Amino acid sequence: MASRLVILAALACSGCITGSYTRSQSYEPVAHAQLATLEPGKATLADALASLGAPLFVWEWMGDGAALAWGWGDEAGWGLSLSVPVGDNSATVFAFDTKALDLPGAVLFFDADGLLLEAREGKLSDIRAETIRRRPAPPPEESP
Amino acid sequence: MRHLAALLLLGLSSSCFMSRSTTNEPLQRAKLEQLHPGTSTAKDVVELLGAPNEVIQLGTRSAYRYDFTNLKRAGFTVILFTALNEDLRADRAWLFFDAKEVLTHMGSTYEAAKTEYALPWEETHGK
Repeated sequence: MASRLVILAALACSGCITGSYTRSQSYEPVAHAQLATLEPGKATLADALASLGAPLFVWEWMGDGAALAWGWGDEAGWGLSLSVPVGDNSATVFAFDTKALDLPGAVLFFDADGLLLEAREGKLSDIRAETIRRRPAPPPEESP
Repeated sequence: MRHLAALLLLGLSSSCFMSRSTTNEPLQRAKLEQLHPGTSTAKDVVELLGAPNEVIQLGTRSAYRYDFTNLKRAGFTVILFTALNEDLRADRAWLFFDAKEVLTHMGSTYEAAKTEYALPWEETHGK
């Protein structure tokens, strides 16, 4: 019994095994009622910005069009982690943009004149992947 | 004696922590209010606000993003268990320009100041 307590105390003090409960709240949510007031074919880019504020992301859509994305999140979960040093140095870096794109939210699509054509809700990264315009890579420079 | 030792161990093994991380400089509402769609240009914007954090090409048009993010973390650890809350909010401004680099639309959101230190069971958003 004493040896078990010693092992438990050693693990606790070293912090190699930890259980956790983590909640992550990101950005102010946009109310569904606010989105519902923006009607495709009638609402404009100015209406959307006035009603919802600045989006998190903007990307090119259908040539001169634009997609504007608002995202927010509130996630919580239990975890168990084991820390084992595997090298002299380590670093954990989460890119802000990548993390924010994983959020659920709403995306509004506008034509070149700023007229709302479509509204979608879902995971921002999925919607972006389906709708973003990929520009072709520039041609290689000609060698002299 | 055992209870005292257990309490002492618990006290020594627990800790509370708080941290704050920010990205970029806070947006200044007064400066953004000096910009007017239809008359301000991209040059005016850059002179007033500095270099944008992101420039997006929208066909022949463009959009500039300025933002300031504020992340507050708070939690505690008791022996093997950690409870952590992260609250992330941002001030954001997007400015849209036509092909001649004249400002056509702008939108801004100011929520970074509402970021809170909280425990995981506390509601901070949508109060």
